[in-house]
Amino acid sequence: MISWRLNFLKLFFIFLLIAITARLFYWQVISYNRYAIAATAQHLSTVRIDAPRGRILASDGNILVSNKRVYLLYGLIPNVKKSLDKNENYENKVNSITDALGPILYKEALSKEKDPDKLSQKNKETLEANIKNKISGQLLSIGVIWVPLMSKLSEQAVEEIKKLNISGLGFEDQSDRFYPEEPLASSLLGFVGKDTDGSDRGYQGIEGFYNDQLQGQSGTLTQEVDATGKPIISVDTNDNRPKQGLDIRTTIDRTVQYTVEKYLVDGAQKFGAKSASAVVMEPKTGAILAMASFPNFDAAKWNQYGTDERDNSAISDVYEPGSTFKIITSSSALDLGVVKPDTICPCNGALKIAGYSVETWNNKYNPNSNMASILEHSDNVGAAFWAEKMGKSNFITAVKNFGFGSLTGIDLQGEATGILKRNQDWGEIDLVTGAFGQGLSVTPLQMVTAVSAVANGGKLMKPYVVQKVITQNKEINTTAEVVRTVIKPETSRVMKDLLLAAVENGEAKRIIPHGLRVAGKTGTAQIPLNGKYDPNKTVASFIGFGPVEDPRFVMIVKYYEPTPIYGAETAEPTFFKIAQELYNYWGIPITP
Amino acid sequence: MSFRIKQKNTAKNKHHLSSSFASLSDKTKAVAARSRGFFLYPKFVTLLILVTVGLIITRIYFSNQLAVSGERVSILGNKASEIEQDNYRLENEISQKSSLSYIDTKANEMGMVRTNKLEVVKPLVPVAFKP
Repeated sequence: MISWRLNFLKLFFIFLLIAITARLFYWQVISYNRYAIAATAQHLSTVRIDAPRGRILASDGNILVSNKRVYLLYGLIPNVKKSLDKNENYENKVNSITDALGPILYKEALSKEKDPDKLSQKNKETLEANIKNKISGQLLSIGVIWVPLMSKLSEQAVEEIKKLNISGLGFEDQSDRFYPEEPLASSLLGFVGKDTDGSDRGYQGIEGFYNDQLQGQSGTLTQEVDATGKPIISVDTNDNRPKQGLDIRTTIDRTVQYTVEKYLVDGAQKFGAKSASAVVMEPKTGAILAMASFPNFDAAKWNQYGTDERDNSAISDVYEPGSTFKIITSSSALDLGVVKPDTICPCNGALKIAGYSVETWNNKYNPNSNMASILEHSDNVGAAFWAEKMGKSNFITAVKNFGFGSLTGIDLQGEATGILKRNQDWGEIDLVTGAFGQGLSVTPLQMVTAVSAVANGGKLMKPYVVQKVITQNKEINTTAEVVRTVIKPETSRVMKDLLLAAVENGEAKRIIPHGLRVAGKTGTAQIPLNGKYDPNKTVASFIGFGPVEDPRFVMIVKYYEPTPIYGAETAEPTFFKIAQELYNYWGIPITP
Repeated sequence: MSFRIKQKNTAKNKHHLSSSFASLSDKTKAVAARSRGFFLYPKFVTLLILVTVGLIITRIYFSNQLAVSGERVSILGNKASEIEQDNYRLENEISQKSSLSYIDTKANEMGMVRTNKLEVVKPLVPVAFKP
């Protein structure tokens, strides 16, 4: 009797021992990883810390884009419930919180609107109602503890909310981009949005192109926490600190940028242009000093603008350049030696080619014109004469050598290549129309880059907007890069004189400020619509450089659909207003 | 029942028990010797105890210091973060107040006007002559 009881007890304990050992083996060996992770999650709290994004600086070191601290307002539902008074129900409490927060959050939301002053009373009321609905909806959520109420709150709003002393509300730090010069150069700088996993990401312009350098590396803060989840301060282990994004110093001269934008926007509004763009480049290096687009946008409110408004039209818009392209045709013809400055074009009437009639812009003809005269009169027949002298193959090669039909390689996101026909698709009429900039499409940046080569002695420079990337220990400088030599220095010298004469004896000679020696060319190109050119809709532009002897800048000003339609009456006056300011700003002596 | 078991065990291990007594007697001797050692070297043993107690107190002190300094480091970290934020805020304020649009607006408010007659001239003769 005793014996079997004892044996049973023995066996029971042996089985118990085996069972415990097996269970321990399962926990500690087979399921080690799973439980190790669970244990770590229980006693360690890991929080992601976003790295501050790098700053973007102007060429003088002033800030164009920086960061500012903003806050996320959240609610902890259990804490709100704890603060209920006797006989007060939760819904009433939420309503009172909503009423208290509503005006402050509405003010914040209104400040983030694209144009708050133009918002109608009805829209304002809807905005306030939406905010209140969102707050109460979030606080009445079921099955959640933490609810976000509003993000990117200003410090002022936070102070106001803190004064309300509402239990159960809290703030979390956030970072946002800050634009002290807003909306200066917004299309050039780009903007910061979110990527698919909710992290900040730069789009367009410098923010997009240099996103990897600017964004830095986010870190993690790992802390041991107690049973209630509160961090134990003494064993704080911050094992992976965020690395701040790198600062970027651009070539943008903010004074030049400000001046260009001011006059471009004034001009676009005055002439009723649908869009406008301007680029100022240093011809010897390819450094971009200013780049402006109209309409522009406020990068801090980027999501309230359409793609058209956010685009940098100076690099992404393709257009038919019109007569400004005669600079390329004449330079190439001269460089090839097929014409000389004194080569005479018969130019005594419209040119008949392949069933088409090529006419001058005013249907007036200037027989026996030399190169200077053709440029002064912006004679299409004369330009066609040069192109025919060159021949199709040489013309296409020259156009491609000047960088048309391919990317300039500028360090900005969103550049377009322009449109050139395939070599085999060029007909005789394409050669002739191409000579005066119709039938091919370019970007304003391509035009500036090509004319810079004419101004600097023949070197096609790679344009760039970032002069250095600043790391903690060193600065990585961008160096000027010659893509190729496109014309001889002698050709460049002759072209400067021809283009100076084109300005000084051209249509708009009366508007040239006293003493400014600027070489350049106007352009008025018809816009192709539904397979036809609309005579009343044009792209008006002016491209030029100064001072002629030692060019400090090359600039293009372009208006899309301005009134009046001619470049000499719209783009050229704007060009000279800006040029006058640049001469004063840089202290360039005038020529008496 | 228990009596029977006890009796059974006692009978089985009689020889073994007698040898255990012998060994116990040796242990007792050893303990007695050690007791004599304590009385022989009381200062040494006291010193050992004091050192042990001292080490324990030191450990507690340093643990406490670690906890306190951890908190202090945390407070300093927060302060550094606040100063860093103040720095950012000031930097942003300076950049905003030195922005060209701000200066332009302020200049207009102060009644300043843009000059329309500004020309930079190149002197034909040196500006200053040798005395």
